[in-house]
Amino acid sequence: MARPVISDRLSGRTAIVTGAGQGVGLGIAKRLAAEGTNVVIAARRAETGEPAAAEIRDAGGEATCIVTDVTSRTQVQACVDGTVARYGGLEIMIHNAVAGAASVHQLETVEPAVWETLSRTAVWGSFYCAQIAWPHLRAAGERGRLILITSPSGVEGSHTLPLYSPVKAAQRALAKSLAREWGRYGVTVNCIGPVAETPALTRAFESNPQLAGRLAARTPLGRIGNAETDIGAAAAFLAGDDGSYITGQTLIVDGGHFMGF
Amino acid sequence: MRVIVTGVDQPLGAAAAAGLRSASTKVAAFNVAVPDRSAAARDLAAAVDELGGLDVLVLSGWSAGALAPVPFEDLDDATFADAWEGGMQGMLWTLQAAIPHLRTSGGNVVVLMPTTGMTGGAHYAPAAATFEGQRILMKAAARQLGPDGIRVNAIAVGAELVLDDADAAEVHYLAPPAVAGTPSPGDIADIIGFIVSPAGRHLSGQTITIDGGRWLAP
Repeated sequence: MARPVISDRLSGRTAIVTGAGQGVGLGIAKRLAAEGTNVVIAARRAETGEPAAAEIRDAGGEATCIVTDVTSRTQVQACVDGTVARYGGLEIMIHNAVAGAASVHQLETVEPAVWETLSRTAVWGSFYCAQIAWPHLRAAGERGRLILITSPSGVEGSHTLPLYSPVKAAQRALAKSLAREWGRYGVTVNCIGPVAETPALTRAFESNPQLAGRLAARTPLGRIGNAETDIGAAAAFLAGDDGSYITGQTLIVDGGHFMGF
Repeated sequence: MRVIVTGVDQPLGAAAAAGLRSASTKVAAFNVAVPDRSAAARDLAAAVDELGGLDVLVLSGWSAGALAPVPFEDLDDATFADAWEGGMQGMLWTLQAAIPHLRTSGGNVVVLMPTTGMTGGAHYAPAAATFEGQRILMKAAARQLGPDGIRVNAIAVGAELVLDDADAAEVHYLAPPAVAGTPSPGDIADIIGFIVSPAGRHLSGQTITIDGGRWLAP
C-alpha cells in the first residue's frame, strides 16, 4: 500500500494529469501523489510517461502511465475508461498538455500547422478531457474537479507567440462556462496560469534569449517557480476540499509577474 | 475611408456594415464561411481590389451554430469545430491576408464580439471559447502589428444582442445595465469611427464594451 509523503488530504481520490511526462504536468502529478492521490500520467509518449509513473511509485505514491494523445477523442476515452477500471473512479481531471508552445511566429507568415498543433492540444484536448471525464466528475459531486492549465498570455496577449494567446484564452472561457454549467453538482472548474522551470521554458529561453532576464527582472519574487512545490501545491489546493468554494477562476502562480486581474 | 466588414451574415457584422456605409466610407462585405486560409486570402484580396486599398478591417465572424445553447455533455465534434475552428481560423486567415494592405495605409483592425467570452456562459462553451479566443488574438495582434503602424482593438456588445437565448445570456451578468437601451448599427459605427480616428491614436489592444455598463471587469 502506497503511503502519502506530505499529507493524506487527497487520499482516496484519483486524478488524470495530461502532459505529465515532464514539466508542469509532472510537478503536479508528483505533488498530488504525495498528498495521497492515485495519479494517472496521461503522456503522449511512454518514454516520458513510464519513468514519471515509476518515479512517483519509487517515492511511495501510486501512479500509472496511460499513453494518451489528447487530440484523439478515442484515446482520451480509453484513458478515462482505463483510469476508472483501475482505480474505481475519477475525481480530478487536469489538462496540462500543449504542443508547439515555444516556437516564436509572426502573424503575417504563420502557417496553418502552427495553429493546428496549438488548437488541437490545448483547446480540443480541453474539450475531450472535460466532456469525457464529466460523468465521473458528476458522480464525484463536491469532490469533482476540472483544472485547465493556461497562461497569463491568454489574458494579455503574447507578442512573440500570437497564436498561443487565443488557445489559452479559450481555455479560460471554457472553464468559466463549465463552472457555470456544472456548479449545481458541486463540481468546480478552474485554471492555473503557471511559470515554472520546465523543458518548455528552457526551450522558450533558447528561442527567445532575452526572455530569461526580462522574466527575472519583472518577477517580484525574483525566481522562476518550481513545478512541484509551487505549481503542484497550487493544484493540490484547488483539487482538495480546501478549494471547494472556488470555481470559474484563474489562479496565476508566477511569482507576481502578472497582476492583470 | 475604405472598410472591409466580415461576417455580415450575423447581426453584429450586418449592423457594422450598415452603420459604416456613408458618402465618405466605402464598405466591402463578405462572410468567412469556410475556415480555409486560401479562401480567406482570396475573398480579402477581392474586397481590397473592389475598394482600391484598405483602411479598416472589421472582423466579425462566427458560425450561427455557435450561438445555439447546447449542454456541454451533448456537444459533438462537428458543432465544436464549426464554432471554434470556423470563428478562429476565419479571423486569423482574414487578418493575415490584410496585414500588408493595413501596413501600407497605417490602418486599423476592429474585432466585434459579444461579452460571452469574458463572462463565460452555461451551455455556451463553444461560443465563449471562440469569442475570448478572438478577443485575445486581437491583443496579440495589437502587440505584434503596432510597430507597423497598425492598431487593433475590439468592441464587445451585450450578449443578448447576439445569443439565441436572451434569458440564458441574462444570468451571466452580475448586475443590471447602468444605462438603458441597446446599440444601433449607427452606434456601433460611431465607436468604430472613434477608434480609427486620430482621437484614437493611442488606443490599441483594447476592448470597448458597449453593453450599457454591465460587465465592469476588471
